[in-house]
Amino acid sequence: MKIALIGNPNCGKTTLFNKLTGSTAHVGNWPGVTVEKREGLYKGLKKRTAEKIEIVDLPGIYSLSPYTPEEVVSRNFMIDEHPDLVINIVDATNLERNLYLTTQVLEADVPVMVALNMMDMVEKSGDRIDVALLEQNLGVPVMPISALKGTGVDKMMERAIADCKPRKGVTVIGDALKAEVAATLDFYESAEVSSPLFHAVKLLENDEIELERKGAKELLEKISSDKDLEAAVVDERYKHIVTRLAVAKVKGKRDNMTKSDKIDKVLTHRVWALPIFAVILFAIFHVTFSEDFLYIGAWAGLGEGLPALSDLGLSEGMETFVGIFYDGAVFSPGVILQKAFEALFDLITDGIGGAITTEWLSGLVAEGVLGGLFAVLGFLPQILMLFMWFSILEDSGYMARVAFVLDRIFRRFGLSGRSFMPMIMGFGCSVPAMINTRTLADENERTATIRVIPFFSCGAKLPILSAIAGGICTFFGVGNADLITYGMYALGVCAAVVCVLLMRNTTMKGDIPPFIMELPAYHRPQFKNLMLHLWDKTKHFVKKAFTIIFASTVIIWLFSHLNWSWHYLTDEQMNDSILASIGKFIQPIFTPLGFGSQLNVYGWVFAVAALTGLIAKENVIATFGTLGACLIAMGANVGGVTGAELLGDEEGIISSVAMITATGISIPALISFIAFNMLTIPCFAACATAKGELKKGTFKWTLLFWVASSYVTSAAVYTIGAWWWTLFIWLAAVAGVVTLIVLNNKGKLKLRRHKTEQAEAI
Amino acid sequence: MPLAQAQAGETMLVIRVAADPKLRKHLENLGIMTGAELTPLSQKDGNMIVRVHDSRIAINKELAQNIIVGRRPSFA
Repeated sequence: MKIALIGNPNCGKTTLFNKLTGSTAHVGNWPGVTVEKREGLYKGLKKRTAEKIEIVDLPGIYSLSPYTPEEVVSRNFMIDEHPDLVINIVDATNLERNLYLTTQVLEADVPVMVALNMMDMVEKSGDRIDVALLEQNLGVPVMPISALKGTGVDKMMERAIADCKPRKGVTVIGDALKAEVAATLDFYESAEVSSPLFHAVKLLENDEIELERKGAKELLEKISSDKDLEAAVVDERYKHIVTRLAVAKVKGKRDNMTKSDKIDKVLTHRVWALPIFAVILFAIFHVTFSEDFLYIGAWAGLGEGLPALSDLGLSEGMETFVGIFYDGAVFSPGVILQKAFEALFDLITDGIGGAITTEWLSGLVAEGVLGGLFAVLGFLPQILMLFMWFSILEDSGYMARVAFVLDRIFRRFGLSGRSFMPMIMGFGCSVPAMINTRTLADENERTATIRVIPFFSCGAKLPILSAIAGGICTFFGVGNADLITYGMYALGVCAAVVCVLLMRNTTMKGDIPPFIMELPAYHRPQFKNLMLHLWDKTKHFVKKAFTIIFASTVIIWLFSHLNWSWHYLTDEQMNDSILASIGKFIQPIFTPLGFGSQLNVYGWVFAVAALTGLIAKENVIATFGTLGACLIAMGANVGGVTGAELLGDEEGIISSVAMITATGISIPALISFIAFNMLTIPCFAACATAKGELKKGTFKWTLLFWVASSYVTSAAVYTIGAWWWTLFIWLAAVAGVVTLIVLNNKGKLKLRRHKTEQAEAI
Repeated sequence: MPLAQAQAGETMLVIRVAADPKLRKHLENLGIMTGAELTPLSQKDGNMIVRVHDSRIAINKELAQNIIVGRRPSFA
């Protein structure tokens, strides 16, 4: 038995789907289009039914007209795949609009059941719905449920299984269009298609797909005779809904403002909307990343100041424990979790490292494998936390408001407010962010957005930032690591803005589609859904750590300990390894960026790290860890860092200090290195997603775009940092490019105007 | 008058929607079409939130200028 779920966006369809299928859900894509397809098996009633019940979650749609891929997918599935039952989920708090889709679903020759969702909300607001009356007027079973609370769901499924009989399509279109419907119905019946009534009404609606059928266009022209049939059909639907169906809802006494309206008064306020959003965003990053929670340390610093951890005079074990929470300032929850993870990994590494005595094996395990893995896993808590905050904002309905609030500003850069959501998701991970761009209607806007998503530095790039920023502060004793990190985030956002402006004015021109978006009612995010999200993310991350990153670190370790004739090299001989020769070969490319040939004999390590980052960004720091250990063993001047210290270095700060000392790299070059890694080609997974989501043929240009933008930005960072006067050269170059683009665009305009003038003259 | 100039809180009747067929269809699906009632809830720099059939729809300024609305005939 196959059951399809159909309904409007935000009607609670996905919640119901999760409730019905539990963990059996399988997420894929509909063939040929980038629309998510969710399938699963019904988990309830297992004993009573021998037959498996398949549940297919169709994408959220407002109608069955073929204007979006979602609509086409749902329509084809319903008509051509002959599901045994279509459950139409209707948001009972928004009955009229939701029933608009129902009137279309009823026209198909499939068994239909209406699930009246959010009944608890209806009752709460003081309204009442006469379910029996609605069922009578609709002619199909209607079941009241609350997908969120799970009430009525089992009853609904029981009836679905028992009551599911073949059914002929019925239309709500009345006498006004009787002759027209009869004419088109006759046409489709003689063509012997399935669900003739559905097609017949769709043809009257001027439906693109129906018009492709031979003879359809002629027929429509014949019967329409100047009447706007399309508008008439829509009118009939709504008229029927208002007079016959929505009457089942009795509105109770209440004030005109719902709770959501009241919240909106504040959160979408004319003046305060943006500041409120900025504060929320800041709070999220603060709680997740700050090493000085609520600035307690900074406040205390105005007076005596809090003592550093080492000054507390604690016993060693106690110091480790307290160090999870405090070092001169109280850590934020995100940092506390991360430090706790670190402490745990230290224990594991110590245990394993001590147990293995064979030199090369302990090297491989401790440096190659554990070093790399823990460098990656250590950031899991913070990445998950960031992800959790964004999920909460999304689930509560606030993200839709933010898109609306930001629309005005985004329009100045040539994007609509909708592109905001994928961009902010980019801070978590580029992969879901790129998939989220499917909500953008304009192809060029979508391409431009996908290209800049990696600039919103993802969780995996954070280790690069904090390790090198930490290294700079520790080694050079300048600056503030937090400040450098935030600065780099800002640089990424600036680069994104500049690149979007550039693209939308040159290669990716196009109108910004108008902004229309339903704002769902605010509701408390569900704990269970949230946990499901986070669990998915954790699985993905751990899997990645133990596959791609695990393999990469082993390969890097091997290549740095083997020469071209496959002989094992000790750590001390690393400069003769395969990896070193590859690194030295590509090193000159990075000279303009500051981490190329100007570095000393060990300088190739940065080139290698950047290269491994193309597989997964976590690799950059994993490579630091692996190579840093070798540098120490080689007796390079690493500033007194010992191998033992390095092993307990999940943040990678110590390995970056080792690399900085050994290579003699400068601060501008280090910043340029971060910038390069942030802006260049993202990880394998993101590239694969981008390739899948982008229009054919644009991916290679996207790769070029990433290389070019990262190269130019890093070169600018390095040269300006090293020689301040080069700022003027860069400014002149930028001014030149801007002038060229503006002139070109204006020039084209003139050309066109010229042509029309000529045409007018003729 | 264009919807963009309508007062927040006052329910209006849609007289005409000036948009290309695709956009018009989408608006129809959301319940915004000739003869429908809508109530502007709030405005921000011309971008507005309107209530249509119990749902809240956000619309940007340019679009709000292309939806022509009028006062409801009063039955009092």
